[in-house]
Amino acid sequence: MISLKKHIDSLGDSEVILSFSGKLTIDVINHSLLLVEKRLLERKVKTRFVKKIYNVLVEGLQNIFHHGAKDEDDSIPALFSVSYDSESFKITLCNSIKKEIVEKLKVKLDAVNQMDKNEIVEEYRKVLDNGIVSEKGGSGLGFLDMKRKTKNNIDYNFFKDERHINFLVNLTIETNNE
Amino acid sequence: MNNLKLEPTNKTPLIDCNAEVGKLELEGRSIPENSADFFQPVYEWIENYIEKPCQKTIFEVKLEYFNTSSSKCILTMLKKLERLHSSGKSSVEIHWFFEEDDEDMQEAGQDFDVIISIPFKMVPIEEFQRN
Repeated sequence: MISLKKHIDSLGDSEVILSFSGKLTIDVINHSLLLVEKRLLERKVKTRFVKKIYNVLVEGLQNIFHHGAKDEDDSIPALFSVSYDSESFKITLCNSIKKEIVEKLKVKLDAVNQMDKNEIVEEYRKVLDNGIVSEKGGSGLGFLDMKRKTKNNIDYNFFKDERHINFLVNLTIETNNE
Repeated sequence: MNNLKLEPTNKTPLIDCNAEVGKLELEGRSIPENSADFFQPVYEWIENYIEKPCQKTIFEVKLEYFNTSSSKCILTMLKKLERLHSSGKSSVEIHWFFEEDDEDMQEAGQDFDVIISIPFKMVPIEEFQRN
């Protein structure tokens, strides 16, 4: 996992609304969502952006909770942050994944990133209508939803540390994107 | 038949299904980790309601947030109601409320409207009442 300090440093002058590194649990997700919403509202961020950020964060954190690789003690290591500067909001999500799903994820993400706005809507409706929810509770809509709501490509990267393969995602919501 | 009422929480919506007046309400936030489990009682209630429905059925959706697994569950409910509507036993209407600056919730309503063949009314409002 990347170090939280390094990650915060990489955000430069951006204001960090919330950052976390550790074991991801349902309690962590619940508290983080409440805190992010509260802090955004305190900063008088327009409600349409608060909702977008909240929705994208829900999707990202639940995605890690359902699909993130577990440590030996059965915990799910994760790092995430929500930050902003004058131009955009940024959500960073990082978790460990199993080696065998790297290729599958790449193919999926590249396909989503290549779609234009109309193709995303069309694909979203198609997947929504096929009606299958996986045993882990996944809908197959997560990445499509992230791209649709952020109106930006999903910036992602895989990197190895001594123990795991880590999956890093950066999502950007531009504030001039009215 | 019995009505079904589930009080809202930070992660689950208010559910109010009233068989006497033919009204189903979904209001608040729907972001549970396992949406299918949460919505199971609603599926069962709709299946029972379909047996002896009111002449007119209204499904009111007033959601502030929902995750993608909830969207599949909402579609499952809508498909059950679509079956009721096309059977001719009840005239079903969907009222999809959204805050007027919330394009994501408006688009979500449009997604369901495209997929489902039931009269679908989009209702923009200034702001939801929050508890």
